[in-house]
Formats: sequence, structure tokens, C-alpha cells
Amino acid sequence: MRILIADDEATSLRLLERTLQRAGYEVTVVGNGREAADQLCSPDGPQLALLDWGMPELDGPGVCREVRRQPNQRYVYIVLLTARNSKLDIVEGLESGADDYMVKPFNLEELKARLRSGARILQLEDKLVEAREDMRFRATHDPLTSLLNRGAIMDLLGKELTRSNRESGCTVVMLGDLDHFKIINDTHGHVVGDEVLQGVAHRLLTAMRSYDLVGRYGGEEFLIVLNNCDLAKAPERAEQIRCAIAKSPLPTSHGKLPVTMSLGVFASAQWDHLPAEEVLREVDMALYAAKAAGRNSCSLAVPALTREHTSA
Amino acid sequence: MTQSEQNSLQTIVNLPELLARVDYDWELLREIVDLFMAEFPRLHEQLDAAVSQGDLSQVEKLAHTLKGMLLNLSIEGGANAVAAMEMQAKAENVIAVREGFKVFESTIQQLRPSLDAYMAEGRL
Repeated sequence: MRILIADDEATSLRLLERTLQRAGYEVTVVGNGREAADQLCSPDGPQLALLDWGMPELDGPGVCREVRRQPNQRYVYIVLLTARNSKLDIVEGLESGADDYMVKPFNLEELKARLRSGARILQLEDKLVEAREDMRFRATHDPLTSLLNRGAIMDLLGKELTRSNRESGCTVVMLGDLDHFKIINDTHGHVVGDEVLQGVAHRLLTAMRSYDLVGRYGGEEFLIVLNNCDLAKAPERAEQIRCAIAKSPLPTSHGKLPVTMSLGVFASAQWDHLPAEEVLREVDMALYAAKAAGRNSCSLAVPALTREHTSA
Repeated sequence: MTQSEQNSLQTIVNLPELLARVDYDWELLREIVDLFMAEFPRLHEQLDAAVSQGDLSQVEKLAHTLKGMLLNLSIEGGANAVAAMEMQAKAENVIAVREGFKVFESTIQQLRPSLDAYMAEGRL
């Protein structure tokens, strides 16, 4: 485990460095508080720290306060090791954000035990963060395909439309539906149907840019959001995605199965605060048109405003 | 090293405690003592100057640094003497600080020759 030792006094620094190296720690030593704070606040800095109180540039409690002010930082377990031994000092040190407080001179076994206790807390924190991230993933992703789930993709679509309005950038929204998916399920069973959905998800992700969004909207429906697109190239992008799905039969446990997708496409740089649900309605109508045109095709949405103008 | 020098060192430094702190690593102990011998005269001189000038904030700072250093080396008498100076400097009691410095001087008087002799003898 990595540990940072900050002390401006040479004997103390060397004593601690050697002692903790022998105890198996990967030790970094610094001689002032500023350097300590910089290292501890860096994303890949040590998570365990042993700080003296009085140091040049920034004292130990100052380092603690600076570390604790950092938002979304991995937890840093801090032990203040100082010759200040009054109750007021201990309270002030702990209130500044230190997790533990030891008075010099240190007892070697006690120091090692307290650092082990810190390491246990860090391990516990790691497990909690991992569990939280796992829950966050489960709450926002489809368990079968690992794509964004309906709630998450709709939420992100709303945000993307807002951003697009603000920046007048073009956003392309597509709704893709697998053609004759029911036949696959009925003929080969739901297990194979699931394999097809997973294979399609993989092909969709491969066809996307890293910052595009793709989610499972419904059973065999996929919602795709491409941001900062060239408006004129939207049909071409939709065709690329259609081809990526249809390019070759998908391998499944029942052999290779041909799969195609129909796509409804709505592209605009002027959303005029259109709600995500309304955009979905337009894309859905375009998808319906693609299906009606014989499937395995793409159809561009004709927004309501344009339809009204045309009929007038 | 004479018996009296050895006795003197043992009354100044709590050797069993110090050895336990360095985990009986004689090489490390020697290194720490070397660092101390290099640092201590400078800090001692600065403390002397601060006391003479009545610069109490500097006395407080230096006494605190020396206290940590002496405690690490289990030089308890010396550490207690500078700890008293630190407190008196904080309380802005110049007379007590000057008295405290005299106590400190007498406490550590034997430290350097004892450590020197010990080092020369290769005991550390």
C-alpha cells in the first residue's frame, strides 16, 4: 500500500520512511504541507497519509482541510503525527479532517496497528464504492445487453436535446427495431432471441462513436442518439448502422441467423424545446414508415410542423 | 567510552525505547543519530539567538521542532526542557523562557560528547 509521509524534520522523516518501508509500505516522503496536499489531491495520489502538524507553506490541519474540500475524490485516510499533545490540539486536528491523531514520540507497534486500521477502512470504502457503482450500473443499464436502459437513455436524450438547443448543434435521434424478431423467438426460443439481442447490441456499439448514446428502448427496439452530427449526413449514418446490423448473419447457439433492422430517424439543429417524448413520437412514426416500406430500411421523420405546412 | 560516559548517555537517552522505535535496526539508528548531530547544532544556535533577542514566536517554533526531534530520539530530559520553553514562549513569559533555556542547556550538556564517544566507539 502506498503512504505519504510529510514532515519538515529530517530525523523524523527518515525514521518514519525506513520504518514503514520495512513494514511493507510503498513510501513517498515530502518536506512541506503544500507538496503533501498536491500529492494527496491528485487522482492517483496515495490514499494513506502520515502528516506532521507544523510544516512550511501549509500545516498538517491545512493539508487535511484541503484534501477534504476536494469533491468526488477517493478517500484519503490521514493520521496526524505531532508533538502537540493538548486536548485542544487533538480536537482541532481531528476537526480539520484527520482520521486519527498520534503524539510523538511514536511507538512503532502502535503506529503500525493504527495504519493497518486505516488500510482496513480504505478497503471497506473501496468495497462500498464498488457496490455503489454496481448499483448505479444496474439502475441505468439493461441486464441482458448492458446497453443503457429505457429510463437512462430517455434521461440522456432530454439532456442532449437541451444541450443541442443551447449550442444550436445538430442531434440525430434514431429508433431501430429488429425485423421479424418474433419469428426468431417463436422458431428458436427465447434463449436464442436473447443471444440475438446481445449480438445486435454489440454491433450497434461497434458502429457508434465513443460519445454517442445507445439504449434498449423496449423488447427489440433500440434508441440511438448521435450528438454534434452533420445534419446532411444523418441518413448516411442511419444507413451505416442498418448495414452494420445486416452485414452478416449473427452467430447464435442455433447457428447463424440473418437479422435486419428498420430505423426511424429524426435529425435537427432546431429542436425548439421539443420534449423528448414528442421527439420519440416523431421517430416512431418514421420507424413505422420504414417498416411499411418493406423493412431493413431507414426513414427520415417529417416533423409535425413541416407536415402542417405541406398539407396547408 | 568510559563507564561514566556510558552511564551518562543512558541517563540522557532512553536507549531501550529508542531501539524499539527503530525496530533494533542499528544501521537506521546510526543514520538517525548522524542526521540529528548534523541538524541539532544549527537549531540550538538559532534557539539561542531567538532567546537572546526575545523573539518569542521564533522560540516557540524552534522549541517545538527540537521537541519533536528529541522525542524521536528518546532524549526525554531535553524534550521536556524545550517543551517547557515552548509553553512559556506561548505564554509570552520572556523571563521563564530564558530560565528554561538554561535548564535545556544543562540537560543536553553531556549529550553531544556522550553521543560522539558512543559513535566513535562504533556502538551506534
